[in-house]
Amino acid sequence: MSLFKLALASLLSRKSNALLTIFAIAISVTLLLGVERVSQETRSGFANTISGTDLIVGARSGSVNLLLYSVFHIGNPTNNISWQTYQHWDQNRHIAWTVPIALGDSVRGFPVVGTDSRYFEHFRYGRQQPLVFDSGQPFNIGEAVIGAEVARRLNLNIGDDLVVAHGTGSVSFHEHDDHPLVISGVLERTGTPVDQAVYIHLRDLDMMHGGHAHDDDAHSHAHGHDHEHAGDSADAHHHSEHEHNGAHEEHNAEQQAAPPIPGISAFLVGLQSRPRAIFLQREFNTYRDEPLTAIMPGTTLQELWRTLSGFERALTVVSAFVLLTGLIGMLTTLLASLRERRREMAVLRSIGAGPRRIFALLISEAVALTLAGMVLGVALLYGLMLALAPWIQQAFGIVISIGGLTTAELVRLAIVLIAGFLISLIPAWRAYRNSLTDGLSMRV
Amino acid sequence: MADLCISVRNLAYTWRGQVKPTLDIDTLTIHSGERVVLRGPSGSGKSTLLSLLAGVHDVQSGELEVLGQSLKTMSQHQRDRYRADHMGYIFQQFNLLPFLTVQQNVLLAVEFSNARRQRLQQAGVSAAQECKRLLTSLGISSELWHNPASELSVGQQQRVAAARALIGAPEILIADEPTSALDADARDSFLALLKSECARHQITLIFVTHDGSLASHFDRVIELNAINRAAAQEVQV
Repeated sequence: MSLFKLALASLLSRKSNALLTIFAIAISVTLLLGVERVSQETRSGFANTISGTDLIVGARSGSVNLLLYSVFHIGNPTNNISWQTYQHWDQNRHIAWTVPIALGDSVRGFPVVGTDSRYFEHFRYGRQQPLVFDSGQPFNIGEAVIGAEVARRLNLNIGDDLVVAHGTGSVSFHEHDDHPLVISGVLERTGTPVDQAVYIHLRDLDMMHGGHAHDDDAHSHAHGHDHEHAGDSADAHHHSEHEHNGAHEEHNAEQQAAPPIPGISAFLVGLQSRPRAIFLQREFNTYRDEPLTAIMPGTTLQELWRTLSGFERALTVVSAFVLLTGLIGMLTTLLASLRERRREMAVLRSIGAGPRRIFALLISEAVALTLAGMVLGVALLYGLMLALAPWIQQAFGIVISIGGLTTAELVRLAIVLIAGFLISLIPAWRAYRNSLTDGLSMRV
Repeated sequence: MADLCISVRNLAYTWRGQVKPTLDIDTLTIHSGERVVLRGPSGSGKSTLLSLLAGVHDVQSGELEVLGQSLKTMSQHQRDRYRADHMGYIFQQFNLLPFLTVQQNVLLAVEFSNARRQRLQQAGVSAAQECKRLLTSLGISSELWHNPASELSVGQQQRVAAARALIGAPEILIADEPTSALDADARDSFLALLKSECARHQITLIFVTHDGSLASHFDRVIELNAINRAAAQEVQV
């Protein structure tokens, strides 16, 4: 029987203590790895939310705020950009394409993005991946496209009706039920906030807010919405045009001439030449006719991540302390067990075990406990990931990929093992000292 | 006369933190194959002498030779190996590791000692065979062999401890009041078994007891109070 087997047999005889110790270590290992994994996935999820867009332009505000509402649909735009300003920049010779975005409404908690067909053409995420339709096609006026998660959660499909609610809460007391839309397409899953959004035409958004026709409609003024009309003159156009909404395809030319909506929340910009981004950003930021803020998504994502990394570090510190607690628990258990195990030690000494063997026996025990805790901890982690991944994706839009252990995680496991070993030196040393002084006498 | 097994000259031992020695023996000799009783009340330096004989503590002054080798010149590690190879030790009680089976407990002594393994090999028996033979001759029925040691009665545990001390035929067996927890019948049968096994392998038996009635079973009685000058002084004071 090897020393390790002896240690195991001894541990098994103290099952409940051993199991509790293992469990404490397992939980701390799960936490330690879980924090690492979630922040890892969050980071890559962050970096993957948008790509291929050189600049995002919104009304004057903080860059992180602009990024949050335009890309993550978190928070609200502070102000709008007028359609004229947008048009002005759209014509800029350095700009290859733009995508307008208007926010503020929701469908049962999912944000509604007012845009036009250019969104599906130019938006990229991950490694320059375009949006792909799982089924259907981009919207026309009176239609909507929904993200994969929206389709799944609300159980919606092509041809279904959709009622947009005013505001962004999941419970809204004001629904635009006078203007139901028909779903024309469902997007494939991207693992980004795109999955959680509903896409409708700017013109539909405007119509819901009464901008097009019902100036006399009471609620258009009552709810004081973000999409304030940039100029009253625009209304006249809307009015005449949307009387004939049912036959809009015949009026394509007219639609393009008239602004579909008086103001938008932000627009995405793709440049002819990428390196110009920094110059153009400056031009946007110093535009005199309307105060604007332009951000480079990559830079601001990093900035955002830096603000969050403090939180990530705090979590890591907390889980390190949980680990320490687990190990101190093991230390306490082992030290307490030494008292009741003096007979065991004396017996081992009597058959020739030297103090060094006793030392090694205690180390083996602690290492066995730590290893068992680590294995259980990793198992717990995977169990939790399997169980919680769908929920995390729904709640936070973070896709947890269940792969093997990463290098960073293996490093953390190694740290746990080393810490367990170092902690075990204390009871091992104590046992060593005891075995020297006690010798063969059984002090009980 | 048989060979010297244990030879003590001017052996003194002072515990750390104490001024006077606990043990101070002028001479003590025990011959190989001898069966002696070591008798002394508590405080007579009995456990100090035993731990010196077993090589657990350093020889501070004087000379202690066992089987022709001086324990004084051995390192801690060498003394541990000497104990594993040449000495069986039976405690008053709690001899067994309760989480191991009876058989595992006995075989543990062989695991810790190359010399015991070799002697078994020379005798042409496997450790498992010898373990079974010893357990059988000590009256432990085979149904118990694979039970945890904790399920045995005190008397059975002491006999299993004897089997562990005897396996691989060490030269010396120290039994530290092994019968004090046994009733009279169990005590007599235990003594008889111990004596016959020691005789079979020419094992020197040092039997520690304060029970004077057991003296008749042995070749010689050593009164520790009589030879330990340190103990005698204490009594006088």
